[in-house]
Order: sequence, then structure tokens, then C-alpha cells
Amino acid sequence: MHSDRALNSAAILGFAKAETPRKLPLEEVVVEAYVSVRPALLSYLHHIVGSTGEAEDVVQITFLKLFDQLQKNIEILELRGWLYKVAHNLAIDSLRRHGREESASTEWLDGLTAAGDSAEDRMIRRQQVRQILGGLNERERRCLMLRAEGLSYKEIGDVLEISAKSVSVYLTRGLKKIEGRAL
Amino acid sequence: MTETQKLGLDNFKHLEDAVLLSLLDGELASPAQKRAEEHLAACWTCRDRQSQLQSTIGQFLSFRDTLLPQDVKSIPAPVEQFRQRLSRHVEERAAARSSWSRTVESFRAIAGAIVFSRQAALAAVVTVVVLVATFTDVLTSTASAETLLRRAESFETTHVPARESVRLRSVRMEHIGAGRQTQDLGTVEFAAENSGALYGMRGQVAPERKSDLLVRSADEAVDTSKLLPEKGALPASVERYLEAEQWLPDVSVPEFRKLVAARQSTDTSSKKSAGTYEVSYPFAPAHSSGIREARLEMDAETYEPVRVSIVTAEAGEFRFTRVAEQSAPRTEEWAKIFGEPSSPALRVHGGQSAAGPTKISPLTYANSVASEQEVAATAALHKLDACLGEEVYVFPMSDGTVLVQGLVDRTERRDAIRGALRALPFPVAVEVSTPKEWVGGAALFPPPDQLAATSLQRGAGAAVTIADASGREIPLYDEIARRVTKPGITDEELHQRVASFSNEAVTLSRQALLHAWALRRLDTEFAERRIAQLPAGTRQIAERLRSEHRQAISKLTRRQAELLASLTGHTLEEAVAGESRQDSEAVLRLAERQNLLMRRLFTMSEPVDDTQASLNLLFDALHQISR
Repeated sequence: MHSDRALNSAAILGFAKAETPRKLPLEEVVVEAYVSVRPALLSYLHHIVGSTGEAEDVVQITFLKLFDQLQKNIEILELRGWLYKVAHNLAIDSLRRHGREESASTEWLDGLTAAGDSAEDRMIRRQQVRQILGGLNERERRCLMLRAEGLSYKEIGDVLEISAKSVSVYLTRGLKKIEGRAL
Repeated sequence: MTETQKLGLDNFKHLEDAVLLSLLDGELASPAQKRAEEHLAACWTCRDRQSQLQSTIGQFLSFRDTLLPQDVKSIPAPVEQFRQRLSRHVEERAAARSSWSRTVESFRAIAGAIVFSRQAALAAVVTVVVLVATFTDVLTSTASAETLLRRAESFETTHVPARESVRLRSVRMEHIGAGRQTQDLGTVEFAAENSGALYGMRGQVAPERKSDLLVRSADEAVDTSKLLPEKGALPASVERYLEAEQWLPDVSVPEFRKLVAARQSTDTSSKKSAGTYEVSYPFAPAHSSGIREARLEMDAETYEPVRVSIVTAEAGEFRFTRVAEQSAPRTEEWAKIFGEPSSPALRVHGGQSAAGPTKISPLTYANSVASEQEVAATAALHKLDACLGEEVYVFPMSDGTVLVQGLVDRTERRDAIRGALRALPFPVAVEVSTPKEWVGGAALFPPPDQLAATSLQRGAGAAVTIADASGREIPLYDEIARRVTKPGITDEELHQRVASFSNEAVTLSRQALLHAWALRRLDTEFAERRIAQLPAGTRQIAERLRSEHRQAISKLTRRQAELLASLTGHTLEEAVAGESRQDSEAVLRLAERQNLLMRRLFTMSEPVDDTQASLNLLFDALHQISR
């Protein structure tokens, strides 16, 4: 079996077939990486900034930064963690720039439901979801969201600048709060 | 080691949640993992607890999916926009730096150095599979050239000539000899309108010189040599091949595909150089045509095809370059030429046509049948909810193609719709714009289901009803207030709560109405008569679209009834199984009725005389419609 590590780094950077010589320019590599990783980043960012347009913008800037790093020959250890961390920080910056403070309030839920205006299901569940996830604090929410994207505790810790041990605590606490709640 | 561990009594203590979760996540260090696993093997309580945690994870994932707006998942990546942004970014950087060019070869060294930490198991496996699939597709050289070609194709699909205008394109033909000397082989000019047929002649195309005009309106053989370089300029084997393939040098993607269709090879490659992408399609070695490869160059930003090259084994390269393109009014003269009824044979025009002009136009549902393309385009729009109150229509056209035309509010919407249609496995003409972009553009056709047009227009144009709770005049104000009030809230907060409750109720009602409209439209579009000839699979798609709307209507009206019940204590009778299904006309009438009544009861937009009577009527309507 391939080790996950080899598979993943190859996949994200477009060397699924590393033995095939090819001459893609770096821009194209970044564009293809953007296309593949975008959905995962977008769904995480959406939970922070609450609007699709803004989340998309943050994703794009993240990949511009990736381009810069690669072009400068700067080694990126743990690429996925790096992408999430850059994206996360950009999203927080974007929130601040727009004068919205991060808070433990449920304001982010308003943005989410407003953006999905055409889907009746969402509307119907709005009240319940608001109640359930509104009970989590920001750290718990973000840990869970990042974990759901497949990040390891260490990667999550790096993104949120907390220890892996704390990640474990936040995850457990977050899950306990939503235990047994169903829509 | 703790005292309990020393005594071997560790197993008496149950595992903490954090340990159980870390174990599930593969995050425990190995001695701790071993201890925890041993305990679990022995302890039902902890195993039960662990599986509870596992199902809570499932719950969280479903909450998370619920929260993501539909469009986050369905909007295709704005690749072009990002590509342009990146290339601007690159230019800015390049200005500040002398040399930056880099290829993957050097980049690979870096990639080798990238190290990943151990993967968490949960989502990573799925991600990896998806990523690998994506990249093998995009990055094998075949797909890369194909991808570029498809992008060029979308450029063309979205840049068909406007109605009432004719596009004139000049193509210069050149021969590049062994010593790189260039020989001019003259120009050909092509005229096209949005029907897709090709009209061309050597030299400057003009309607007055109709007799010289080559018309190709179907895939039957014409004498294409009229539009190729003079006899003798091309090697005989190349000329034979080009004529046999019916290739015309209009530098378009469809013609390029024709050119390479019989090359007996599947190799492709692509490269980027100053402002252009170039895709190369090599021919099999010793191909009978004597062609070594065919290339298509396209603009790197827009993907507009600009040049086709045919590289021969022995006679150098033949280049066909777009040198000018302009749009001319579709004069009477042109109309006569384009208006020719499409003849089964391709022919060279001569003299006046006897038949009157028939131009490609949309067909009504009444005198056409549905094609698989039409069903697929409708399904793609359905998936984006574009059938719910947006003015986007699928038109079966008189030449058998499908046109999607419409107006949408936002550019994101427009892009989403265009993207979804482009992803279809066949070309669809798309004219979807925001009203601002449409100014001065082509005429909008009336909706193909003329019958439903008035009702649809009215609904689609109406603004979303926003319930207004600024006063106490909402008929059900007191009932709602009783339901949503909480101890200690201010009047202002109570107003807010009443308003959002009303909004939700009215929105549900409006959604139900939109689904009913969409259902009626589909019933007209895919009436049995129009789909009878389609394969079973395609018919099922049409049927599925309808049943999804029916399910949505039923769900929405039930939910409305529940909301009402929570206010008034009414209950909705359970639907009786086996009751006959109402036709879409009846569903629409009921939906309109419930919407009117909901607005009466939950907003101040409609006058209401008797609240109780309205409520009874509403329950009646909801009961009937939710069956």
C-alpha cells in the first residue's frame, strides 16, 4: 500500500504520476492544485467568513501565496496544514477588515443561511441548527470543522495556534455538546 | 507508572472521552494506544461509549453539510478568473524580478521535499481518492491538451454571433518553407451567423458574389478545395487528406477536431508561450497524408483560437491565422443567403434561391419533440434550482440544437449556469446574462411554453415577499407573538421574532409556488408526446425532475401546515395512500391559492376580511396540495 504521505503530497501538487516527464509551467500546476483543493478550503472558509464570494477570494489569495512560495523555492513542510493556516489567517484578516470581530455569537449562522436562500430544506432546519451549533464556542467549532476536513490534531493545532492536546479537549467538548441532538 | 497501573488494576478505570476520540482518530501515542485498546477489548461500557462518539461525529457532519449553502458546492471553480488573476500576479512579480521562469522539472525537486504528517483517517482517504482521480485526468498530457481544446470550445460556444448580425472572419494562409521563408498563400474569408453553418470564399466574402460562396450547412461533402490554398501549393497527399476530411481553414475548434480525427494516434501535448497556449496533435508516423502534426494556438487568457498549423514531414509548415474578425449587420442580402432552407446536400450557391428564408429559430413545444440534449440541459438547470422562478429557458431549435437563454440577477448565478451547461458532454448554445449585460444584445425569445408564459412572467418578476411586522396589522400577529415570545424580551425583540417567523412561513409558501410553476413547465416541456421517442434512461430523467418538484411541494406544504398548526391547533389530515395524483395544472392552482392566503395571513400586503375563513381555506388548500 502506498503511504498516505507520498500519495498526498504527490496528489496535491499534481505529481500523481511523478515518473511521467511533463513540462507544465508552475502557474498551471498552481491552477490545477487550486481546482482540486478549492472545495475543501471553501467549505471551511465559508464557516468563518459566511459568504461564498469572500471565501472564494480568500481561497484564491491562498493559492497566489502558494505560487510565491514555490517560485521562491521555499520548502513547504506539511503543505495541507500550510494551506489551511494561510487561508485561516487571511479569513480572519478579512473579517477584521470588514469591521466584523470574531465572536462566539451565532452571527456566522445568519450569513450561512442567508446565502443558501433557495434551498427550502435549509430554511426548515435553520432554527434547530442555530440552536445546536450555536451552543459551541468558536474554538470548538473550528476544531470540529477542521477535523471534518481531515486534518490531524497537530495540523489543526498549527492552524489555530494551540497545542494538539488542546485540540483533543476542544473536539471532545464540542462533540459532547451536540451529542444526541438530531434535526 | 501510576500505583493503579503497577498493581495491574488500570482496567478498572473507564477511558475518558478524549482518549476514546483520540483513539478513533489515530492520535494516541503507541503505548497509550495499546493500553486503551486492551481496555476497550475488555470493556463493553467504553466500547458502547466509543460508538456513541462515532455517531455524534456523524451527526456533526450532517449539521455541517446542512449549513453549507448549496452554491458553495455547486458553483464550479472560476478557473478562468483565477488563472487571469494568477497571471496578473505573475506579471506584477515579474516586473520586480529579472528572471522567474520555471518549469515543473525544477519544481519537482521542491515537491520531493514536501513532507506530510501522518494522515488522519477520517476524511483523508476520500480526499486522496478524489485528488488522485482529478490529477490523473488533468495532468496526463492527453487531458491537458483536451482540456485546453474544450476551453477553446467554450469560448466559441459563448461567442456565437449575435442575432441580426453576421460574423466575418479572415484567415491568412501561409507556407513556411525549410529555410523559414514565408510564402503568402492568400486569404479566405468566412461568414457565419449563429446557426453554426459555415459560408466562405477565397478573397473577401461579399453577399453580391454569391456564386463564389461555398456553403456548408450539413455534414455532407462539398468541394472544400475552393477554400484551401491554390492547387499545387499543398503537397498532393495533404490536399487529398484535407478534402477527404472536409476540413475548412476557419481556425475553429470543430474544424480542428475534423483535421485530427483520422490521425491514427492518441498522443497530444500542450505548451504555453508568450500569451498563447498551443496544443499539438501528432499524426501517426508515416501517416499517408504526409502530415506530421496539427497544432492549434489559442489566446492564453480567453482561449480564443488564433491559428492552426499543419506541419508536414517534407514540405514544411502551413499556417492558417485569423487576421481579422468583424461583425456586420445581417442585411437583406445576407438574410437571403443564410435563409436558404438547409439542403441535404452541400452545394455551391448560384443564382437566387427559390425558397423563402427560414432562419434557425426556436420551436414551440407543440410542434417539436424533446431531444436527449434538451432533457440533459433541463436537468442541469434543475440541479441549480434555475427552474425556480428564474427566467432561464431551454429552447429546442429548428436545426435540432438546444439553446439556453435567459436573464439572471447576479453574475455569480450567470457563471454557475454557464459552467453547468458547459460541463455537459455536448455543446449547448448559452445566452444567459444579467439584465445589464443584455442591453443592446439579442432579442429574448418568449418562453417556449407560451401557454404558461403569463403566469410565469408574473411570478418570476415578482419581488420576494418580505413579511413586514412593523405594525400589529398582520392578521395572525397575536398568535405568532404568543408562539415566539420569551420571558423578558422587549417589544422590539418580539417584533423581530414575529417578523422572522412570518418570513419563514411566507418563504415556504413562495417556494412551494415556485416548485408548482416549475412542475407545470416541465409537464408542458416533457409531455408524453414530446418524450415518447426518447430512450428509457432519458425519460426517467425527465420523470425524476418532475417527481422531485412534487416531493418538494409536498414537503413544503406540510411544513407550512405544521407551522400553522403550532399557531392555531389545526391539524393536517394524513394523506390517504393511493389517492390519485393531481395534474400539474391543479397543483399550480392550489399553490397559487395557498400563496395568496399565506400572504394575507402573514403579511400586510393583501387585505383580509375574515381571518378564520382564510385559515380554513388555507388548510383546505394545503391539505389538497400536500397529497
